[in-house]
Amino acid sequence: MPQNTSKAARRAAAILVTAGLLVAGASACGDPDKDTPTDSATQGQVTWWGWTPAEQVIADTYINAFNEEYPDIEVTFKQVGLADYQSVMRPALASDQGPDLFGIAPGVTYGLFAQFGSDMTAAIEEALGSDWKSKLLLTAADPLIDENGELKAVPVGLNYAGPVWINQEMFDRYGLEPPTTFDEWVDVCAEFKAQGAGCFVHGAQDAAFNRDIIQAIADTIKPGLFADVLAGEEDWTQPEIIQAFAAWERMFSDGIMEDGAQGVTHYPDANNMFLSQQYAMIQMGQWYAQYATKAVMVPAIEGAGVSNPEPFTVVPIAFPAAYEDGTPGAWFGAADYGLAVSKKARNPKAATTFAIWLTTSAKGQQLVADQLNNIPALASVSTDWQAAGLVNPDVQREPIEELIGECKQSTEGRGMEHDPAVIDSLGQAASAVAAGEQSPADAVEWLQETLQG
Amino acid sequence: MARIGAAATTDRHTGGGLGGGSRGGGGSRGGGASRAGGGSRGGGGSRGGASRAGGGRAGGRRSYRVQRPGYAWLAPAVLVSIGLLYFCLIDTARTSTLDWDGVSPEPTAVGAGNYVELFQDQIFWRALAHCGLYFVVTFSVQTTLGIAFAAMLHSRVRLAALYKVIIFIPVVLAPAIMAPVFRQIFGAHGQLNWVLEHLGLGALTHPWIADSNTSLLVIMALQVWEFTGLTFILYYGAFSQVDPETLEAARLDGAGNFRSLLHIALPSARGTTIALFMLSIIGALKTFDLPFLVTAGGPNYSTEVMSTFIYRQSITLAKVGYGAAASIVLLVLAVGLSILFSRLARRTEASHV
Repeated sequence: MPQNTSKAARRAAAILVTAGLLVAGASACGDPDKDTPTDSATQGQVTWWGWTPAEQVIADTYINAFNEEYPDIEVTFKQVGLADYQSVMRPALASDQGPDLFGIAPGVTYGLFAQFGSDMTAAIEEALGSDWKSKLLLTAADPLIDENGELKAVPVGLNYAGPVWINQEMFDRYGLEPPTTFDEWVDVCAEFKAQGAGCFVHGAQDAAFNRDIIQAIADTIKPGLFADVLAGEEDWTQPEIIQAFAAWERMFSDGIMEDGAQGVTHYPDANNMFLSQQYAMIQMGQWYAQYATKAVMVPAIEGAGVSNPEPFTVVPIAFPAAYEDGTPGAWFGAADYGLAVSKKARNPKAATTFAIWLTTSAKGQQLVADQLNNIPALASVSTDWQAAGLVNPDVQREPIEELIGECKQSTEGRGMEHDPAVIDSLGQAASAVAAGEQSPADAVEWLQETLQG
Repeated sequence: MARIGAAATTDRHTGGGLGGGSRGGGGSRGGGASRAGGGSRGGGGSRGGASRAGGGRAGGRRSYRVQRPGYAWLAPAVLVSIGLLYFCLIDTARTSTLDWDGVSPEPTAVGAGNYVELFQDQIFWRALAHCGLYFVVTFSVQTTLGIAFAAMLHSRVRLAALYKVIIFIPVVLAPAIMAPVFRQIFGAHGQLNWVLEHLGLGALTHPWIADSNTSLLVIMALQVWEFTGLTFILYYGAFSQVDPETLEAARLDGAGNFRSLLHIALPSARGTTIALFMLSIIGALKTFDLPFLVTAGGPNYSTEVMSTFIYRQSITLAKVGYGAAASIVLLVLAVGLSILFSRLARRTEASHV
């Protein structure tokens, strides 16, 4: 009996020790500073998660400048890939271990995650005054305000799709002019191929970027119609939409698209092929202006697998007109992203300080403007072209400046705010047409039935 | 060709079957297998002898009583099983009756609505059909290659150990690591097309993963490349259990290599074939990594399988209730097919005893 008691005691002691070690281990896993909430607006640790900025160097630039004014707030940026954003953020925001600050885009991510964000109205009013909306660009804030009038995220900047970016040096090398119509585009691509160079690279595996191209095509036929169709205000079966799908099909059948585009992702595959100068053209939005700067382009080229990265001249051109009587170029977009302070933030005031500084202060927004990743939400701020550090300012500045100026005037949405099922169905139709498995007329008929039937 | 049965290693599964069935448990290897399995699995000993010989399970089953302190050690496993597996299963079944985006605090109950929608969804049926084709093709090719490699390497081949390693290496390579390589190889400007062009077969070059006619074929080929090594190893072990005397007798009766393989070795490895058959069914139903990482289910859903369908619905489209309904259908299919084929297998095996 005493022996049994001794054994039981030893077993109990072993269990207690094990449990103690587990508890100690678990507590050691946590960051002690992060676990210490503060009520200060000028000190503490802030974790910021987002899919953008896509380049760490841009986030570091923001944070370093912020720390010159607020040295006691330590901001850590964690880049979460766009493809994984929903799957990562859902459990993170629902738990107590999520970020203090997170990115929200109008549309799907707003619909899912706005509920986890605090109301930022008072903070932005304090920074910009009660007429704060009038100080922002046209479409900057509205998509981030909920049905109760709460501003769930403060807009950092705006983004517009529509342009095509070209490698000016490749065009110069082969003595080619950028195309303004599809017919010219077919000829240009044939010439590049004859010279053994790639022409236009696109990741047709990504439905969202296919949508951008089809919207760009449709805008050269009848500007604004595609946005209205996406919004459900017009039918899919409009003749101009069928024409747009026919032009999309032509991009594949007439050799504008690279071979095998349907097996290529836009990021990173197509982007890497453009940055490694295998192709002369790529469809990207105004955000691609960041790659016109040395600071972003050089590491990006290195990331694309080029061992001795040499920056080259990228320039935006208007999307070529699909038909002879069409109008090249239209820009469509909205707020790219806003910063939301989590309701479960450990240091909500410090997080708000950073969010408000980046989105409303002249210095923060100037940095946004100079990085060229976004058009700053604050209407009064413009890019300092000296600070931007373009690769080839003589050639690049004018077209990029013109692009940004025209984007600021655009009110055409990019369709980001719609149900993801719309983009999914559109992607399915675009893919079937590209593969020749469905005619443009059948595809739009199917879209009409599926989405508006 | 092969001289099957040259090596004498112990294979519990096949050894137990052969020992209990055709040789009545009398062989030393059969006994060895029983001993190896008997202690830990309880039923192993009886499977090796009595049950296969038709002596009845009850007679051979030993009775174990878990002593009181043992419950404490079982508790964590029981809790994990109930907590992680059964709770999640029940919760997924509950979620499948909801219209829910995964985060909203107020999901809407839709009853069987998700299932009705699912059975009308053409992409769901395509995904299911792809799983079926995936199983038929990968199982047939892997099994044929696995048997061929196992038979060949049972003969006196120089550098046999090297060949075994080469065949088995793909099994241990993570698909996540290999996916970018595959995307490169099978891309429009990839190495496969390069090789074809340099062999004068330029007419055969093709954007393999970008064409919905060839993309699933590529994914299945990758699956075969990855798992043939496992099939090979299992058959290699199974063939090692074939009684050399039986083979010798067959040879004396005039059987050649192929007939020995077909009529002696393969029937002896029936247990391995059945196990691989069932694993392939379940594997095909739940395959995810290769189609997701190499083609993302595309183009135009040509490589969409059940798991990528569930992922796309639940994560990309935030239709968590709908995705849960598809998960439940997948579970029912996997369990149902496993039960069906294990019964068929048992019946077939019983008819051979």
